[in-house]
Amino acid sequence: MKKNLLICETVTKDYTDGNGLSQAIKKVSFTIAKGEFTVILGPTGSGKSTLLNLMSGLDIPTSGRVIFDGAPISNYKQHQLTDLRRVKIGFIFENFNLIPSLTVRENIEVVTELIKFPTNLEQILSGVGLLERSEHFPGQLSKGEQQRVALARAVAKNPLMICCDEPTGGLDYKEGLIILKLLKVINQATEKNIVIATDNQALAMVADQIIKLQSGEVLEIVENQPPINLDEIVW
Amino acid sequence: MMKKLNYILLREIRQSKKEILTIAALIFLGMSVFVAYYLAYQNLNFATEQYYRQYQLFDYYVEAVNIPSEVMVKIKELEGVTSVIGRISTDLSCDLPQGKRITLRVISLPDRQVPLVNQISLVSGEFFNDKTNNLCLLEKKCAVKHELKIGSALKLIANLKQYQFLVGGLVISPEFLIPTKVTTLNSDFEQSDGIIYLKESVVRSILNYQDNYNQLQIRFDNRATRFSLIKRIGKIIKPYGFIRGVARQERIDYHVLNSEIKKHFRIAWFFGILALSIAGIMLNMLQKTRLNRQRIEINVLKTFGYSKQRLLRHYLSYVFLIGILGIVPAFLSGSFWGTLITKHYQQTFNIPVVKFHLFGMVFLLASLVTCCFCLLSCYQITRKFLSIKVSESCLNGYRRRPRFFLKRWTLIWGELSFEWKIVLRNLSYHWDRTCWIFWGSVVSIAVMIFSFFLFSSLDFGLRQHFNNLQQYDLEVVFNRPVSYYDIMELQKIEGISKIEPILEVRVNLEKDWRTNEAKIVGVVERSTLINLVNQALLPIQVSKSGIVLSEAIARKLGVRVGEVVFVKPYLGSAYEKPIKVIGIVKQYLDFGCYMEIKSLGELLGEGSFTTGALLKIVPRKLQAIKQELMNYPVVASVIEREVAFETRKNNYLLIYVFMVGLFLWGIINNFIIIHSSNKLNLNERQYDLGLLIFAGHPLKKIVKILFLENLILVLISFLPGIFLGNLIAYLFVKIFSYRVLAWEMVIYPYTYLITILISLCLVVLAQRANCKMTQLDFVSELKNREG
Repeated sequence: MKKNLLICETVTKDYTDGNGLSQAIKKVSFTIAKGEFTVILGPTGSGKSTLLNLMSGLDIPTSGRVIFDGAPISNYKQHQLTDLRRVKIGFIFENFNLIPSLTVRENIEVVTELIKFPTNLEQILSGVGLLERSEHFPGQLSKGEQQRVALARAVAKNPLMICCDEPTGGLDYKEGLIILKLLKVINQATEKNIVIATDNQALAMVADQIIKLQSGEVLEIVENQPPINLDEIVW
Repeated sequence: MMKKLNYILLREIRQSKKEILTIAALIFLGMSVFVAYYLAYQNLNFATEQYYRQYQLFDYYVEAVNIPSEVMVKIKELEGVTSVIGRISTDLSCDLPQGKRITLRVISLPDRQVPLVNQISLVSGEFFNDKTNNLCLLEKKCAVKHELKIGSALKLIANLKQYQFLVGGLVISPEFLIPTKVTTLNSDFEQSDGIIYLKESVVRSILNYQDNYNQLQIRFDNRATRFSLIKRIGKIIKPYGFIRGVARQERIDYHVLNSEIKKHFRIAWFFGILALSIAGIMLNMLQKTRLNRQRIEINVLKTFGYSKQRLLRHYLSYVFLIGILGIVPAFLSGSFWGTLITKHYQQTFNIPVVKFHLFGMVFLLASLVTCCFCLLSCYQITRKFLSIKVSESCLNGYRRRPRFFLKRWTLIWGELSFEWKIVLRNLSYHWDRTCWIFWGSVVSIAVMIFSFFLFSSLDFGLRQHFNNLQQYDLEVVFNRPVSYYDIMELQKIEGISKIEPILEVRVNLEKDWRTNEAKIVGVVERSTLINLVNQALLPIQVSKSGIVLSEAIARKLGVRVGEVVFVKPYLGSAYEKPIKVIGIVKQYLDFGCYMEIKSLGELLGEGSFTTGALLKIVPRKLQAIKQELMNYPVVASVIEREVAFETRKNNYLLIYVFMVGLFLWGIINNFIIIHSSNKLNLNERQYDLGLLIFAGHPLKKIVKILFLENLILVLISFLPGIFLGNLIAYLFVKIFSYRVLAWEMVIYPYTYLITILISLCLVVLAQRANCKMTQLDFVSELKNREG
């Protein structure tokens, strides 16, 4: 039996805004085993991104516990969360969020230079098909290429888990599929956990586990046995 | 290998080089002034202190009618006195080789040795020798001024006899670092044109001094209790006709020199801090804009494990680098200007700076102050931005903005055109930038008005003094007291239409516990050559019934018309006498007192005599009259009122330079503020403006919107700026009047007109300087942002 990488126990996250207190996540509990490909599925406003933030140490819950790799990260202080994200978590954003003043190579190096044992840069660049464009700036790349750089940046530091917030959101089908395939390959080849937050039902089909969210609550957790082939999905 | 964050930093600097250069230029300007003036201050201070120490400048000197040499021994025996020298000093007329007559202060020196106190320093030539008695030493500044060299023959006139001396050497003395000046009636400065040193034995023989002196120069031990020592010295000297005792710090030239040197220190800090404060505010705005634009990058870097401290260092290193960019060239320029300023003061004040030192402490201080200002100006805002939680900074939402107040007045709001709505909204939303331009403009207008005021007020004062209050053409100064009736002989000279005798006496005025050293000018009743007016500008006449005080002296003594002041002349035979104040006279320069000439003579107990005369002449006969006057052995010098006016104007050169500097600073300051705010405004709003262009608005409209925003702020800053300028001028008049000049609140209407025109031009120029904005591709910015 696989060991758990992440455990969420009755996790709640409250926000205070102009209209008073609002609960983004309500007593959510689930586990993610090591090496799993997980999709958090839910409509806009269901709390996917908030949950992803809590899982990746970007934020801490109002109540409940988040245990990552055996450590209770919900009790962590900011500097401990920073250390955690630096070493163990990779992140891919919907809008890529590359640094415009750095080249493709430098955008990856800005992350790897924080790590003692990063992955080989050339290997990663050739893996995402951007070796020849490594000296280009983000503004010179297509959206799909930019997302591939973001993917390379997340993988380069050799994290335990890669969190992706709508990774195919701004991309067309073809480019989205490339990203998805790359994520799947990384998951299978390196046994790194991939967690995708999306509202795209089709993406959920490739996951080992689907966590369905609605209004901040877990609707159901589905184990995909076995997940369908990537070439079969269409959106 | 360079860290990637440094790559980001360098590329960012390259991208925003205009903004950076603007701020760095401001730091450069401010710190150049700081380094230049601080270096000059340190060098002048260091040089004068060293010079005073090395050449044994006196701590206290006493003037008396006749001081026997045994008294000197008595004083030397006092505990705390380290050395005493006696000397004879007096002012004598001197005919120069080119036929000009000047007044020189003759000072005796020991025949064979350098004096123990106030040692002179030989610049060229040689000291006295035993072979000849007709050698003299001349103060270097005086030699330069009158084109005298070693070997030049000078004819001194003493007791109506001429004595010829050859210049044997040029010297400088720690006692006379401030040059003597040509002055006019009632000046506070000494009236000699230079210093001449003669052998003591020679001075004794030409002035008929036996074994006596009229001055003692004393040095104290550092640990001595000076107050009680001075009191004891005063008691010892009293029987010998004590005139006055002056401590080094009280001597006007020492005091003036010291305050001149300290002025450098104050200027350094004032302009340094001022420039850094403005640069600090601009840096803060630049950093805020930068952080706002880089919210996403900050989020990404934090997500991937960059700590807050590391990012804080990265973001602050940007402002730190701007500081370095400003301060490093400021070191070079400051050192250059510092050398020039030091040289200028060295020449003006005869300070023998052997070597210009680049004091490391000044550079260290400048760097430290700059770095502190740069870092402090941005630390809080940077920390605030970096404290935003990663999860929150991911939210790329729009800022919720408050409802614009004008919107409530639907009648007005509805009538406004689209561009006016944008302009007003932007001014209200970016409140910090609006306030910055507004206040920057207010201060700049105030500074411009104030510099105009300085010019107008000084010019007004000088013209009033020389053209309205003084009605004579020539002032004749005698080298010895002359009978009141004898000078009427001068009226025989062709071309002199009117002559009025004057008597100038230095006195000490006392009222209760207040005292003031002043000069009383004795003038004839119903004088037409000196126009005395009171504070209401109504004419006042001197009369036998009392004394007329200047406004400045009356204030210092706290005395009013009808009250009594005690007058003690600096003459041995005269005693302190009470005199009624019969009027307070308005004066713009050279504050003195006036009495009826015969009454003043009676006060001195010396009968009717004069020390000079005022002449009204036929203008075309000026040169002939001057020539003829100089033929009289009693005439020491002839001063033209017009020449005195020009000389005085030249003396205020530094004030004029300060005015121009201040005025230029006001202009540059206003331009930099509008220009940099414009630049930041553009950077911040490229996306919004891009949207407008995308919606079909022409680029001209965008330019107009930005122009209107600046114009509104500058227009509404006129009234507060004018008010502030007037307030500063008013406070200046209240605080600084009667120190050297009586500043009048003179601001002409053209001042406001020019200031307003300049400010409007600056708005246009700042816009033109940013005219590259018409080349900005707003739409591509839009696409980039969307991407």
